[in-house]
Amino acid sequence: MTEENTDTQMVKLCSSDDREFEVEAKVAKMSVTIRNMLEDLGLDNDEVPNIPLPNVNSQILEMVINYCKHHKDDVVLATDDETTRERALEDIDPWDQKFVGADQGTLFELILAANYLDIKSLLDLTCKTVANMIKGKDAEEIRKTFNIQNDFTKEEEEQVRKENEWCEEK
Amino acid sequence: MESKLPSSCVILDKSTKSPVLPGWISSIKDRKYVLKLRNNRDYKISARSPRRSHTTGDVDHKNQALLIEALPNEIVLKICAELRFHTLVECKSVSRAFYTAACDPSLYTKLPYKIWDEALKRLSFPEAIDIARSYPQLETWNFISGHEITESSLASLARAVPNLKRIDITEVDSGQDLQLPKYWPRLEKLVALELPAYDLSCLVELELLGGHKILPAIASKSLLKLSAGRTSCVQDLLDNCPNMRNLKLHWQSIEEKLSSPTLKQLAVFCVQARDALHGCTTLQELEVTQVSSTMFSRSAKLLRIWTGNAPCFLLDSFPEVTTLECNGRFSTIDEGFASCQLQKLEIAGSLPNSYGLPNVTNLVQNKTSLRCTRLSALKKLHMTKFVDKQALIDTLLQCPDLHTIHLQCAVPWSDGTDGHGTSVNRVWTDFLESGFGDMVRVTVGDELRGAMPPSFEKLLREHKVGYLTSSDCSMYA
Repeated sequence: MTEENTDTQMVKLCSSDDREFEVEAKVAKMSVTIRNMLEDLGLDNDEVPNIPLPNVNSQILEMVINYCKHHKDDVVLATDDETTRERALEDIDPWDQKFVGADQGTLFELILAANYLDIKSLLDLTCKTVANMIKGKDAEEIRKTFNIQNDFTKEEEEQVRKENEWCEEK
Repeated sequence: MESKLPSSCVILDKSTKSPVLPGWISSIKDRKYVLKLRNNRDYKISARSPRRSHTTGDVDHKNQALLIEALPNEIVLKICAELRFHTLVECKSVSRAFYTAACDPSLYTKLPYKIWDEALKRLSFPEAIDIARSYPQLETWNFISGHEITESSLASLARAVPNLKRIDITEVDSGQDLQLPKYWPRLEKLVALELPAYDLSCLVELELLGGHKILPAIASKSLLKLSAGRTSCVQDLLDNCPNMRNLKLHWQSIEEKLSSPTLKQLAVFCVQARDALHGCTTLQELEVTQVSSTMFSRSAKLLRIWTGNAPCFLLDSFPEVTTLECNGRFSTIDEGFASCQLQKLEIAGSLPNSYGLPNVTNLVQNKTSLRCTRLSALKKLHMTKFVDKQALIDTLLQCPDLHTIHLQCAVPWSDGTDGHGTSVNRVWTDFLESGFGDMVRVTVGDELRGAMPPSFEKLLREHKVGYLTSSDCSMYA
């Protein structure tokens, strides 16, 4: 079978809550994990292969599929080029911004899914989004943003403060 | 993947027209509403919150929304890698888990130049080495004049930070004599006043800031980047360094014909012969201190001019140039400047009144406030100074494709008035609420943080103005 045929073939992805999604192989293969699975299965029969994804629920899987559909024709940027990397940092495309604009819980689930499915661009996007939520905040604001308990003892807190003493802006 | 994902979820209505996002985010109005919700501190993700229940439905209470703590270490590290130094310092005092993540040595190959430089001046050399032990993967070190450098202190620094790749010895009087490669075998870049006497064959990059002596024709196969004042014969230098990519000779006037199959960037004082760059077929960027009408390059894509006026016929000699940077205090572009080939323009002053630049999508304006700009294809506007609202709105009306405005400002913002009795805050509130706020994304340079009045910062946050880190690269370089 030629490369083109395997890309337009459909595959079934099955979420942890047993919902099936039928997508083009080209879309599914944006996940390195799924691509490897498909290679292991072999694609030279007429059956639509069924890929179980027990780590991803249907809500997140649907989002991931939408993401992959939107980006399936993207050209992979050469990351070793200094200028493209800088530009890549600056421009989060508006579609992507909307995509990750949901609540924190969903965002973290997307991160875990992108990590498990090994979709680099989605992992980069979601991690960058979390980083943007941290950026420019002080410790207390970070705790509030992510609902984190301060579990330092007084002594430890003092220790951390001392360690950072040299870089306090005067 | 140890963390368990919530398993029972309400499936979003698939019949909605929006193929991508649930309906609640599809209209701008709704989006604004949601963003406001997100910024409201009382809005915490909980099972009781109506929107949360929309997405996760009847999730077991123990199995609520994931917290940041659920992310595996390598992911947290990846997130930390996007953060600036001073945010990482804040992260260290958030919690034990954050402390561990933010202390990872791999995050610190560089320390923020300004802060570290200030600290170094206060610290003795042994104290500085002591701090450096917490950042064993540092790759950059600037020796400063107050530090007494001895064989043993160098050895002790080399034990603390064995991976230095870039060293600056410009401040050290005896800098030329320090046998640095002996301590740091991975040394790649050296910044010095004049050419050191020892073997530099390991170097990839050499920057000589003194520029008083004429550089001899050094020979190195590894050298890719060289910056100096002047040399007696540029072609000899290119022949002796066959892999040279980036050559900067700030006081060199090019009168001879140059030939190099590798050179990508060239910066010189001026180019005096029309065929001088004929043999540099791979040249991508040309930088000149003084503009001259004899310059010519068939391959350059970027042209940077520090002084002089760029005449409108200038680009005729640069058929491939798509970016023009007239950055210097004394560089201007002609009245009536026109070009279909330019895509990016960076200018220090205002655009002249009549110009035709139908393909410029990216405009960077330095050291000046914006005037009404008419660039039909403009997508991105980069400003270094605050603008008045009317000029901005006029610009938006005439640049239908403009979708991003980036503010980068080196001077501290004041909460006061702009001289016409309008407060900066007021202008931006008006602007963001004028309806354009929804259509245009506003971003601000990360280095503005802390320099803005808190009320302005709050305003930006409410409108989801993002901080950018692109400035990190230039700040820490």
